[in-house]
Amino acid sequence: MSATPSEQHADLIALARGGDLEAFSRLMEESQPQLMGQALAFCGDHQRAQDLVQETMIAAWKSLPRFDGSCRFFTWLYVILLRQHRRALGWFSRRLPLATLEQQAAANRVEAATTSAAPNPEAVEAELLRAMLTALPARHREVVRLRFYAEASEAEIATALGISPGTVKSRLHHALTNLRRMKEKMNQLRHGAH
Amino acid sequence: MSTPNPDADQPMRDALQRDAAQLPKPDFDPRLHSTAMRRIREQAEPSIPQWNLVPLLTSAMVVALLASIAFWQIHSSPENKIAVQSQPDHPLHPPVAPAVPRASLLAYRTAANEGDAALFALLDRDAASLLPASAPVFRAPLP
Repeated sequence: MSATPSEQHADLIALARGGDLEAFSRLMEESQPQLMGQALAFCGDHQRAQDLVQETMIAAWKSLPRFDGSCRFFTWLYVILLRQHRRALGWFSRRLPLATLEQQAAANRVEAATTSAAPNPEAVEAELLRAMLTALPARHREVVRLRFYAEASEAEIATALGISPGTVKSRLHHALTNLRRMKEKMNQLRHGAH
Repeated sequence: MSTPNPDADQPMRDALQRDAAQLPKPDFDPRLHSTAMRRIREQAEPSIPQWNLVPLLTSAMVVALLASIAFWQIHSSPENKIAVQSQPDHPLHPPVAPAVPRASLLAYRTAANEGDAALFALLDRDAASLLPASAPVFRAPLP
């Protein structure tokens, strides 16, 4: 009987943890498109997104012996992606007066979506939502991204971040409340403008 | 204290889920993959001999430490100390620095095994070295 995809996945993880680079390469082949999609959403720039994915892969290889399988492999990878992204922003913000580099990039994308020749309301809404996400405190943003973009359960997020499930719940609640308030405020401003 | 109302957050949850579903999922990029894997291999290769060196270096350090302890024990054993302390104590006339290095405890043991003659010869040599005939103590009149 042949192994199921999840069994093959588990086998590859076990081999990669034992230092098998070929197994790690195959795991990364599977995860790369999804990682790249997320990295593009964070960076909004293809080159920076590629750099981020590369750094994530290298960091994942180094940390692989510590992966204990208590959460999905992609959730674990996603946490590394988030941390590498934060690290890259930290590097920029130390050298430039742009602590909110990500917010600036998101605002630019909103501006571009709004002022295009044929603005797509859905695209504008999506860019606005991503801009609001960048305005959240990093700890809250991390939980929201893991919950909705990496589709991780609250228990998985708790394991992957090394925090209690109660803390995950609380951060998620605060993040969603803040996003809702931001949206309400934005709607008020829009209606006031018209 | 207000209790959280999960329904109030539901539209935002839905919006986030919709946005996540809309995220582009680019095709697999073989160039990106091979670049990253090459960098990983470059970082992984030099680490192999380094990992093998760790037990080797540890063993070498342990051997060196044991050798130092053994050497120190031989050269600072109580018998040896007694032999050094047994030299005549003469505050007025400090001892003359020995010209010939004194025999070690091991040398004394070897000499004792060879017989009394060898042992006395070694003792004589060290005594002459510690207190030679030309020492001032022999020139001073006896009280």
